[in-house]
Amino acid sequence: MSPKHSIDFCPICGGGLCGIRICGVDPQNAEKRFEKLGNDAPHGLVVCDECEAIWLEPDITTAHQYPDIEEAKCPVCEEMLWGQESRWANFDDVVSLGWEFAVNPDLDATTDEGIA
Amino acid sequence: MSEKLPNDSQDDSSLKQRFSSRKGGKSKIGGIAIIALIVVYSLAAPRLNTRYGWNLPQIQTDSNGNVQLAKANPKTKNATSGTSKSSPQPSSSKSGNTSANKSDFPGVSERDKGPLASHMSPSSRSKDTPARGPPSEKSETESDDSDLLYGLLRETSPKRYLSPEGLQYTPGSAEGHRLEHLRRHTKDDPGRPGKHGVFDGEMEGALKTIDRAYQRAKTGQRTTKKEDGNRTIYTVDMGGRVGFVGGRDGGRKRNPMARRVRIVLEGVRVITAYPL
Repeated sequence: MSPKHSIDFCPICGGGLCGIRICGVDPQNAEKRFEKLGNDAPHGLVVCDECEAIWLEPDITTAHQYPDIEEAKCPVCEEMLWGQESRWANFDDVVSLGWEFAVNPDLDATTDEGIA
Repeated sequence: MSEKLPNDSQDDSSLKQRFSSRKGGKSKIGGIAIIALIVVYSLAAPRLNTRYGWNLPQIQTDSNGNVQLAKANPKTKNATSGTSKSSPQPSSSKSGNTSANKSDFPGVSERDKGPLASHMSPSSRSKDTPARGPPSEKSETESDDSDLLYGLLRETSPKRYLSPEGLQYTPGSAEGHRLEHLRRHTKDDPGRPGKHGVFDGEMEGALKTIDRAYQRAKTGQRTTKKEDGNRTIYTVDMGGRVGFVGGRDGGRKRNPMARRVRIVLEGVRVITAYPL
């Protein structure tokens, strides 16, 4: 369950990958998202796959936050971070977020498939 | 020569006395040795029975005070076979089964359920010892070690585990449980970018190493501590190998050994831990 595309190693725990995650991908929840956020477009997060530190922008020098240890939720839409609404972003996802500039290709996973 | 005769007879009688006293001494020593052997045997037999699943007869004293070997303990056999065949118990709760096992099967020592229980593989135990209970109750790893997951963790409430040093492993993470996340660090992920720390000794080894690291961290022994909000990140030098560095970077360097452990905690709850 490693990220497919990452921007850096985690500056906090040192061992994790700051991977790009896309959230708001469940079409069945589009209406609910629209009510909550004013639009139903997916949004991006940067999440450390070890310590779960979260950045809302593809820049790890900005402020980070931690989700609840047992019920990790997306700080934007408050859906479950590891649920149906969210996945590690593939390259198309990264492009749709407009975050491809931040990707460190050296940290790309070997394969680009099958990772939720 | 004639003068010597009385002396000879005196010598003979004294020799006889000395011989008889030596004989008495030898028989005393022999008796003590036999008693010592009986004591050693009576102490060792139950332990050997428990450890190796043997059925050595026990030493008994009859009404006349004579010491004799008893026949193989039928109680143990009856308890085992009786429970396994004629009266299977419903698996209502783990603790209930555990107490039933303890009382019903005297061959099962407390030590089997303790931290060392993890060292006894289920296959070897089932091979060497008679069946201890209904096979349908629980799997072997669950039954006797039900109190201690991986021989170390106590379940304090459903899916929440406490280590001997006080670390908690709870639900959470992408894998659904912190222990499942930790499992990632018990095997290499050669394709993972960067480094990937891998603990020696599978889950049991990893958990024991983490607990040892936390013990050191609490006393500040060879430990660096970093706090970030309510998170604490310990990096502990363990002074020896605890695993190896895998992942892409580790593979490039021929998987060097890891001798430090990083533990990320929120309070005493483990977020992640890995060797580096």
